[in-house]
Amino acid sequence: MNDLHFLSVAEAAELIKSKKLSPVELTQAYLDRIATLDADLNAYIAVLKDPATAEAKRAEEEIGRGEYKGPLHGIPIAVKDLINVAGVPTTGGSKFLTDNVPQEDAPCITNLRKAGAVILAKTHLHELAYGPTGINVHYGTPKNPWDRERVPGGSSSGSGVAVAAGMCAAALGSDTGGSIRIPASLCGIAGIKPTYGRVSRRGALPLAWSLDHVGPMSRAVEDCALVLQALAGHDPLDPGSAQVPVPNYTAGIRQGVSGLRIGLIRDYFFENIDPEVAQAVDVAAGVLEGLGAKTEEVSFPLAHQASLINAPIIQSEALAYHLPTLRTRWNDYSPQVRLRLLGGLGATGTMYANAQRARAVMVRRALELFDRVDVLLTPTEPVVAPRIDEASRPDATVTAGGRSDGVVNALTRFSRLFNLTGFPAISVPCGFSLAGMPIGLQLAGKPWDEATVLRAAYAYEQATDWHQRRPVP
Amino acid sequence: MAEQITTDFLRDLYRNAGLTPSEEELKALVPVVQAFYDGAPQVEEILHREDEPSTAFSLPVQS
Repeated sequence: MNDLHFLSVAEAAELIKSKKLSPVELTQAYLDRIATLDADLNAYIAVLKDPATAEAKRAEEEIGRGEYKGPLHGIPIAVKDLINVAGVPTTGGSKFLTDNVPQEDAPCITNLRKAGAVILAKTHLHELAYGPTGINVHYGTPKNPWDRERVPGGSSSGSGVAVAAGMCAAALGSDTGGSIRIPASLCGIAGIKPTYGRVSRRGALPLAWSLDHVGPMSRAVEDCALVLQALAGHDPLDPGSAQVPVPNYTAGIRQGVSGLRIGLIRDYFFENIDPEVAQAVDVAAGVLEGLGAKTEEVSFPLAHQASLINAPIIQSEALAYHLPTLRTRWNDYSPQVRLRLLGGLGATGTMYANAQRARAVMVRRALELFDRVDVLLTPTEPVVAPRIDEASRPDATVTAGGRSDGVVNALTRFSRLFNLTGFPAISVPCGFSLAGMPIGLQLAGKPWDEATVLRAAYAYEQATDWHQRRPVP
Repeated sequence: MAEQITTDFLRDLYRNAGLTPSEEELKALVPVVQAFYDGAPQVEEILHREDEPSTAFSLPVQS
């Protein structure tokens, strides 16, 4: 069987269920692929070769006995290295956590194991998840497989690279300001940030508690649905976890978008973006209209003030977590991440409280949009992946639509709105630039309505072939 | 008018928190912290335009 490594989770699941493909064979295919590519691409910090092989063997035996657990049974999944896998260091991409070996799996990993998944490897990330490029001075920067001179996006950089290059069936990421969707967009794959509280964050290193999310990244939208199905659910020990029923995410995924009301947001989201990105997203909106969706232009409330609202929240919460360690391990932080963390002390308590209040205003007014539309449509990023050498500079900027912006603000300004509101949001590939770099389309929905977001994304994906293009054969 | 942030102000702020950024870091932090002070009135204006209790800040209710 050729190209095992590029099978979608759904495709592999069918073959495994019918015993035409062994989990051992599939896992070995990824291990071989990693051995071939990863010395160059640097997606992985730890490859769990022996445990993954043992898990694959166990899955094979279970399936042989007729104990099939479902579509993730025997599927090799990579995990961002800020999520705990028992017995394996969780470094957070940092220098001071190399000896941080958790004794227990994070609940999201426990859920994957219950579904029969094989935990394949731990992926690199932007140091402490505090950056949107994926650049990491301690462990090296994962390379965008579409152009190795360019960043993969972050902070779930290694997960983005591993999925795009066929080095895993799917991967887990986390998302505080866009860290699933940014690498998904820049690496040409699908990645969904679910509703805040949908997936337990316990056992994942925090960046900002009120903004953190965990979610799946994959080569196909249906795979995101399958993995999210396993991840989702209430965790009473995560204070941010919600007790909300989890629907069947694949049940209606093929229903199409006839009559679906799409809110295309031009204001703010089409300002200062690459013309190629604008064109690709406009064409994507047209594709959805061609499939029967109805599009109207809407505005996102307080989008232009989002930076003012977001900064005190993310910076205060991030510093609150790291302050004790900064006092004792100052030099073990990279200068860039350290500077970002230090900024948090400049926000007073009143500024933080008022930012949270303004956030509540944004949420309330954004929810009103869903009286008129079912999903929101925007670009995921204003640009394609920047060059590593340019993005590595302390004063790195990105120029889009004639305007120069700091690289952090540029790469997060479209995604962080859905961290602030907690609404579910997915990025799917919607085209390529003339330079051959992926462009991402972002679809967002109302709280708890991942199913509609996935349905719209699936319909778009199936009407196009962007998701079938491969950066590396 | 928003407070004008200086490296002296920041040096004391960080020292009180048990941190000692370099002078170069302090200079780099001036515009970051200035942005908080410049932005705070704009955030307050957002709240001023809205009616209470919609501007309440509450924690997630445990279920």
